[in-house]
Amino acid sequence: MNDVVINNHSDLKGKSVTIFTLFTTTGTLLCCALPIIFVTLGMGATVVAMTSTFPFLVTLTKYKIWVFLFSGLMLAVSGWLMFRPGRSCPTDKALGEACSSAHKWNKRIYWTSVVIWATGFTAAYLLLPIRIWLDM
Amino acid sequence: MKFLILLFTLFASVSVWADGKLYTIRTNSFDCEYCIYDLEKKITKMKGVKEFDSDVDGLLFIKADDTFKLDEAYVKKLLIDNGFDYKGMTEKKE
Repeated sequence: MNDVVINNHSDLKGKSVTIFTLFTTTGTLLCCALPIIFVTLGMGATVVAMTSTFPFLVTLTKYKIWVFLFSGLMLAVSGWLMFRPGRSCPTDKALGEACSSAHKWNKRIYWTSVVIWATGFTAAYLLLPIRIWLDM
Repeated sequence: MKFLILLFTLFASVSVWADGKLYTIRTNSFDCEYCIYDLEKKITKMKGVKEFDSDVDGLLFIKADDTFKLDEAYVKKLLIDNGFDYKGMTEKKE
């Protein structure tokens, strides 16, 4: 019984961390990838409207290094919680299925977060050097 | 001695901006290096522009020849096209 309670608590913690990770990585997309995509597509006015309506975006871009570090750290913690050694589901059929299903969704959310973070990182730190290199 | 070095440095730095015009453009302090790069390319291509610089507080500096005239409407369009809000411009003779 105690094992079941511990496992459920651990899954809940893992799920919360994964969802929080998704939330933090979305910040990297908002601050860095979206404006560049819009500007590249000739939709600079949309970026102006976005930053005027949501001034926190300007703050996010100013402190983007911290946004990336924090969300990267959250990805690492979330990844460790999900893929840590010795992680197992309860032997009880119903609980085991619920645990597997939760783990499956956790993995989906986690990999979505990884893709979002990588997109944001590429836009913020790699796109400009690549562009300069291509312009040379 | 320190004072003399300081004086010399001040003199030297002033001489860098000694002739021409300096335009200071205020934008929102949106930190997008990619957008700035694009803007810089477009501005430095303009005939008469000598230097372009930007700072993190949303100020853009354009050093240009005396004969150069920066069109406010064009600057506004250029900024908005690159994702920056236009908040005003000043022109100073150096």
